[in-house]
Amino acid sequence: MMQNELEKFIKANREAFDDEEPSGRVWNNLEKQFSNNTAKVVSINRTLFFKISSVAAAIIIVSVGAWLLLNKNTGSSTGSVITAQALSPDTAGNKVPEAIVKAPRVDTFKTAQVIKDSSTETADNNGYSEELFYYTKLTEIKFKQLKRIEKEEPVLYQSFYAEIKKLDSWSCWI
Amino acid sequence: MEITTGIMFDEVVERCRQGDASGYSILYKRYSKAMFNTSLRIVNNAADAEDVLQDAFTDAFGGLKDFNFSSTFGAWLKKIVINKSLNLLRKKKLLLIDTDDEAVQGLKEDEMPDESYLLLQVAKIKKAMQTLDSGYRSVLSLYLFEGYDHEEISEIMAVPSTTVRSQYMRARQKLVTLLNKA
Repeated sequence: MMQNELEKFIKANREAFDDEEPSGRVWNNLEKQFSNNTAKVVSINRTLFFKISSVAAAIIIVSVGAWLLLNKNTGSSTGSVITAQALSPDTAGNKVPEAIVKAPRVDTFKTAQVIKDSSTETADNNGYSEELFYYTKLTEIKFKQLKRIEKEEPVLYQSFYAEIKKLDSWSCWI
Repeated sequence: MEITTGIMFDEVVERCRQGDASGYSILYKRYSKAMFNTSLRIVNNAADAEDVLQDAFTDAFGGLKDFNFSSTFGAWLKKIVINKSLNLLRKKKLLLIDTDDEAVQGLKEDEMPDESYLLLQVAKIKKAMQTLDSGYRSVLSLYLFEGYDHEEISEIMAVPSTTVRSQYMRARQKLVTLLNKA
């Protein structure tokens, strides 16, 4: 009957037997080991992310720049004509023939544009094509850089690619 | 499989598996003390027990990807701790299991030493355990403190279960004798 005293006592006081504490060095070593691992993973992800986003940002900036240049002759000229008319009615009036001043608004706009285009085109042409070449080249380089991550991070690449596509389609819309 | 997965599921373990490092510290805090004492009862030396503890957690954390919740994390970790503790004794050639089963064959249950008059105290038992041979101490630890049965211990220690049984009888007898002397 009494042989089970020992077992019973240990069972009843089981927790009291676990009274020793390991020294802090055990956790310190473990922490070093496992926080290092995770930190490494995080930092790799972070640098990769920065790399990709900087390339993507460069592509976006360059494409916007190139697009603005491409549209300089058509898009921006409308703006300059309006300001020219608004700010200096004297000079504009002097240069523009009488008929245009009297003509309805739509017509004024059209003719003014033609005048502006013909006067600035030749001067702009050289510098413009140089810039266009430069930005196209830059876009190409950045696109190649982005292409390099296609294998490593296909999902990320796809999302950036989709963004660039979207940007391209916007430029057509505008 | 799905049922056990549900029962044994541990949110903190899952967090670690997903790569959330904060879970490691929670698991360490939850299990380190018990595991350290488990190892200490077997290896009988604080520095060795700390080495075992560190090794075991390293293996457990590193192997979490393969952990499938078929047992609790605690039970899994305990197995690792015990295996590492026993291996350390083997390496030091301290784990000598006497395979001569004859000695206790005649010893019947009711011939076991009477413990009724023993003033059982935690500190006394711990001290007596520490003076036992490693083989005795290991078997007693696994049976009395860790709750494994003779079959499970025979598997863990890779000795026949009859040997575990006789080893346990002798170890227990020796412990009681020591306690009576103290």
